[in-house]
Parts: sequence; structure tokens; C-alpha cells
Amino acid sequence: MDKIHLWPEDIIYLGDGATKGFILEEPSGQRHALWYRFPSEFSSKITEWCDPFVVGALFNAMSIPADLVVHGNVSPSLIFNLREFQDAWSSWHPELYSQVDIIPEASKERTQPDTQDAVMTFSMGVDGCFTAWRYNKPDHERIPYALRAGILVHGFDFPPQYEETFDRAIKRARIILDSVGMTLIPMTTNLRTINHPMESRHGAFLISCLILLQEGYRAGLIGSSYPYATMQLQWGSNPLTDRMLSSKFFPIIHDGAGFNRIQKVAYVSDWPEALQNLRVCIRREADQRDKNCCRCEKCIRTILELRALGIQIPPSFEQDVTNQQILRMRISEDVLRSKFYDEILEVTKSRKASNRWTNTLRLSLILNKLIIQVKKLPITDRFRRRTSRRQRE
Amino acid sequence: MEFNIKTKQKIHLWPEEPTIQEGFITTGFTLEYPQGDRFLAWYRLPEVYSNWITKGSNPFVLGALFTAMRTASDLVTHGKVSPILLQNLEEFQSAYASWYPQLYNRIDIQADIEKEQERSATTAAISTFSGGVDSCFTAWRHRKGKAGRSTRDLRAGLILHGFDIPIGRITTFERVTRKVKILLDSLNMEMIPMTFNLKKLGGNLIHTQGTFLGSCMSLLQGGFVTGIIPSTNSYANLNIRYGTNPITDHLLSSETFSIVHDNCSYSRSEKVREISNWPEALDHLRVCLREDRSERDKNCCRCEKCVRTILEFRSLGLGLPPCFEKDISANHIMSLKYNKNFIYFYKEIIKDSKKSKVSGLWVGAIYLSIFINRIRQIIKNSPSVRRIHQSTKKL
Repeated sequence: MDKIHLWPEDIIYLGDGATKGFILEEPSGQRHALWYRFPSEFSSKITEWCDPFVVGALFNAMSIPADLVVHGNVSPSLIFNLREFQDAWSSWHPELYSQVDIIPEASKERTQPDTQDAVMTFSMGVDGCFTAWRYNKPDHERIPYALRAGILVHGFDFPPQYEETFDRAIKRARIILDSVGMTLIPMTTNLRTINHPMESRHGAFLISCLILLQEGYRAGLIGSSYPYATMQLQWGSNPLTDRMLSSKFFPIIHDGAGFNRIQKVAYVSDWPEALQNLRVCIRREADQRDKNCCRCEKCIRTILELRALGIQIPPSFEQDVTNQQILRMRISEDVLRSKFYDEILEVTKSRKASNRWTNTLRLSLILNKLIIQVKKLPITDRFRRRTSRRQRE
Repeated sequence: MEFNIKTKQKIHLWPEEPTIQEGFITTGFTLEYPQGDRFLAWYRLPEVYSNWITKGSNPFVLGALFTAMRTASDLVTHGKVSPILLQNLEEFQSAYASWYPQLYNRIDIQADIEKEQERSATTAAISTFSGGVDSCFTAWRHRKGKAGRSTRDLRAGLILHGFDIPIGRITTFERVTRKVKILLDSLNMEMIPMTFNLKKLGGNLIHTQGTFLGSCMSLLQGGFVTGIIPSTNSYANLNIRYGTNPITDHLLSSETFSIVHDNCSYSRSEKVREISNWPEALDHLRVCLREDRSERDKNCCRCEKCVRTILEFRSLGLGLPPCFEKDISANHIMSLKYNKNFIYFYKEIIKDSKKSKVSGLWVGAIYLSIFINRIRQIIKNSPSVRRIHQSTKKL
């Protein structure tokens, strides 16, 4: 099998920032310089091991496919788990991914860091806020770690060139995390340049950023996107394969899958800083992504969740939605299957708060289901292909 | 919307002192239900293994978990339980309460002492072993070092009496253990027979089986650090709500004893192909799920699982192994009844037969059988049939 070489680079300090990265050499000889940039005050938490780079480059190696030769130290427990990780993804997408071997120059387990602190990925959305609040709320449940920090990743849904947008997002994320005594770690990375499509890879991408900080933390957490009840296993971050990115002394925890989305919204509703700075939007123009557009499906969904729970729309959503917008929104099949909107209707029914907008939502769901069925018809598919061919010509 | 557990009633779990009688050691626990009723749950195994029996209550908590979740009662354990296990079981409960909200509730588990058991000074692993395709494949692969970096130090197979063979069928179980011993001896593995009565706690065995298997293996924590549950379904055909699955099985682990769901990346036909290199397995494989449980030490060659396994061997061009006394005809294939979860297996058989260039009337019979069973499912799930079924049930 072909080979990809991975060389770790030394940490570089520039002003208040520090950069750690690696060189990835593909079998064709093409080289990629991949890096993670963060405030230098966190450099003591950066691992010397190549574990984060292996996780960040794995999908790339599996898609070529090429064995990953790592010119550095990799935790043997991580290599062990990555075997199973690859098994799962290559079973689900045999046309995209194959099993590859990870060949490290050295394979030695790290020593256990002397801390119970944990770090999470934090995008200011419902799932992240839920996990942060769950671990820090005064009447919390039995929790294994002290969740002390959240990483806001620049280069994932914030494109790297929009620095001002990211700076604005940092300010708001800091307000949320400060209020529960958590530290915000802003991190910029260009890992996305080698990771397409992101649907299956974003979990590994984000977890790679968590593992980079394994010297300072005992565990890494990632908030679940889908609940167990409507689990989509082949989504990039899921409770089955996320934990396979763990090593012996840095477990990865997929948190919150026992709760559905509307339960999570209800849970964080007594955290004013989170509600005021919640950011769920993924459709807005890239330079405006620090704020919610209040028009896309995810914004509308969150507004309706708040409305169903009888919670006043917080300032993080500048406008409310109209019935016309509810009727006109387009919902993907994945979102429909996840029953987010059924949960909204169920809660309004149980609260006896059904209204005109709930009827509009019901109608919108029927319309969207119909549209999906029509799109699936062979004749629609042929028509779409013909139109796109004509457009290309 | 409620988030904290609001159960009001409690089930008390009292560990029992082990007793030794006629070469067997019996240990267990008493469950005291909220109404005051008591149930004695026990595990019995040869006395020679008494040193391996844990002094902690982890296995008992696993054994009683679904009963507490079903009755919405907090589980108060009067013994020592691992804090890591307690954390894991919160997530485990979340999963089952999400999948079956009408059946299971999230409950609180309290323990008199929350402390980890000492880790055994060994790397040894134990696997549940029924003598079927999944457990044979796990044993063969690890013992022959075919699992690469995933190879475990698998030293023993645990054969359970009280699962598919009822406790009263002692001679049947003895016949099964004779076969299993031949299989495990050939791999230089220890056979540990264990009889247990957890099934009498009630509940749906399809959901509870993972916790029962985990309970029996973690009882032997003194001799092992890992308990292996061989996978039933592969990643490509995953049924996550099944009692053992790769999402929740590992949540039955404590810090010092891990439960591992093994070999999920292999399809059943890949497993059959691999164990066909093991002569003892071809002679003594046991897959049968016939109605008459007293005969389950032998393959009936007529139940769905027997027929499916015979077809798997046939589709790989391996013929009929000696563990099946009779072959099957196209008629047997067409009269099979199975639900939609099994259709995948039959499609795999057709695929394999194409790859192996093995064909015959039986391939057509499988196509027809899939078609018939799909129609049967559609009819069964139609609202009017469901209504009739429900009203008949009521009557």
C-alpha cells in the first residue's frame, strides 16, 4: 500500500500566539503544512505526542488509501482504538474509506496527567451549552471530570480568512464560559484543507483539536448532535466512533445523547448568559456567522423550540419568525428523520400551548415530506440531471 | 420538563455470602422490592474458580439494573460498587430510556461504598461462549493471533446455563458443555460453566442480555481484566437497540474490568468462512434455536438459524459441515419465517454465492423467501392487521 508520511513540527511562538503543526506528505509527493494556532498561554497544555495529528490526518489516509507513517510517538492505546474506528467507517462507506495501517516511529503510552480537568469543543450552540451547563450547574448529576475549558475552533464553520467575525464570536463565547468559570481557548486550524467531505469527518477534526491539549486535561468532551432515540450513526460525530478516538489517558466523551434537543434547550434556559449569546446559525454569510440570521432552518427550529417551551426569545435572536417563514422553510431529510419538529409539537401539546404557528408547522412538515418524496422520484432525478447538464453546457 | 431523577421507590440489593456445596460455589444477591417482596438471584460455578469471584457488588448491580429501570425504583446497593461503573451506567440508562421510554426509566444507583476493585495482576480476558458462530469466531481469532493489534489475551470461555437452556435442563447443558469443552480445549482455553437465575427477574431478554452477560463475566473479576461479548451484528448491519451492541456494552465496564463488544467489523459470512478452518468447530458448532429447548445441544437443521447457517456454509462453497446432520431443501428455505432485520443476512448469502460462483435452485428459493417475508411484514404491520391483533389480544 502507498504511504503517507507525517512529520511533527516544533511549536513556534509569535507575539501572543503559538503554532503547533505537522507536515503531511502524500504518496504523490505533495506536501501539506497543517497547523493549529492558539494563545501562547496554553502552550504548556500542548502534547508532544503525535496523537492529534494522526486523528486529524486519518480520514485523508483512509480515503487515498495509504498507510500512515508517523515520525514521532503515538499512544499504543489510540492505535488500538483507531483499528476499530476504521472498521466502522470502512464498513459504512466502503466506496470512500479503506483500512490503513498506522506505523509510528515510537509507540509509548503517556503518563496520566495529574488533574481531573476536562476540555470540550464549544461552538456556542445548544449542544455545547448543554454540556457546559450540565457539568457546571450547581445541582449537577454524577460527573467524572471538572469541565474547565472550551475550545472555539476557527476554520470549521468560521472560514479562516474572517478573523474579525471570529474575534466577535470569541467575545460572546467568553461571556458564556466566564459565567461558569470555564476558560475559552480560541484555536485556528487549517485541517479542513485535507478533510472533505466534512459530514463524516468533522468529529475527528474537532477531536484532533481536543487531543492537542491532552497534556493539560484528563478528558475531552464533544456535545452530541443527535439523541440516542434518533441516532444517525454515520454522522461524523456519534457516540460509537467518537470514543474510538480515545487513548488510555485521554478519553473522548460523546456527551448528552440521552437528551433530545428540546430537552437541552429547556435545560439551558436558566442560564441567561448562554441564552443571550446562543449561536446556532450555519447559513449566514461567512462574515456574519457570529450572529444568528433568524431565517435559516436551524435558527427557526431553535426559535420554535424556545417558543414551545414558553421561553421569551432571547437577544441572540434579533427577530422572531413569522408563520410565512415557517411554511417556507426547507427541512432536510436528516432533520426530519431526527424528529426535532415532532418534539416541538409534542411539547406544545403537553403544555396546551398549541397555536396558529403549530398548525403552520404541521403543514410545513407535510409539505417538506412531500417535497422530499417528489425529489426522490426517478423522473425528478432525470429532470434535475438534464437541467444541470444544460446549465453546464 | 424534568431532568433530575424523580423516582420515589427503592429496591434494596443485599449481596449474599458465597456458599460451597458438592464442589460448586454459589454466590448472589437478594433484591428487596418496594412492596417488600424478595428475590434471591444466584450464580453457581465449580468451586475451583472460587478465588476469581469478586468481593464487590458490580456484577449484582448489572444483574438488577433493568429490573430497577423497569419498575422506576432507585437501586440501593448494600455493598461496594465501582464509581466508574456508576458513571457509565448513567449513560447506559440514558440510551435505553431514550430507545424505550415506555419501558424504562432513568434511576439513581446508590452504593454503601463507592470504590474500585483492585485490578487483577493479569492481562487475561474471558469471553462468553455458546459454541455458536460469533463466539467461535472471537475465540479462534484471538487465540490464533489473527486480530493483529486488537488481539486480546483470551484465556477462558464462559458457558452459561439459564439463558437459552433452561436451568431445569441439566442433562442438556451437560451435553452442551462436552461439545464446548472440545472446542475450547482445541484452542487451549479454559471452559467455565456457570448456572444463573437472572432470567427469572423477568423483562425482555432481548434488552437485558447484555447486562446479564456483563454481570456473569464481571463476577470473575478476580481472574480477568477484560470480558468479551462477541458481536451479533456487523457495523454495516447494526441494530443498536439490541441488548448487546457496540454503543452500550462498553458502558458496563468499571475502571478495573472492561467489557468489550468484539468483532463488529465482520459479517456473519466472513465469520463462517474463518471458522471453517477450525475442524473442531465444523464438528461441534451449535447454533440451533429450536422450540424444544431440551434438544438444543444439537442442531435441528430446520429452525431459521440452522437453515441460515447451513446456507452460509453452502454459499461459500464449503458444503455441509458435520455439525449439521441433515441438509436442507428449497422447500425448507421457502417456508422460513423471519423479520426484516434478518433479510440482510439472506442478501449476504446471495452475494456470497455469486462471489463463490455457487448456484442452484436454493438461491432462487432464498430470493422467494425474502419476497414472502417482506410481504408478511407489510401485512403484519398494516394498521388493520395490528388492530385485529390488539383486539384478539384483549379478548
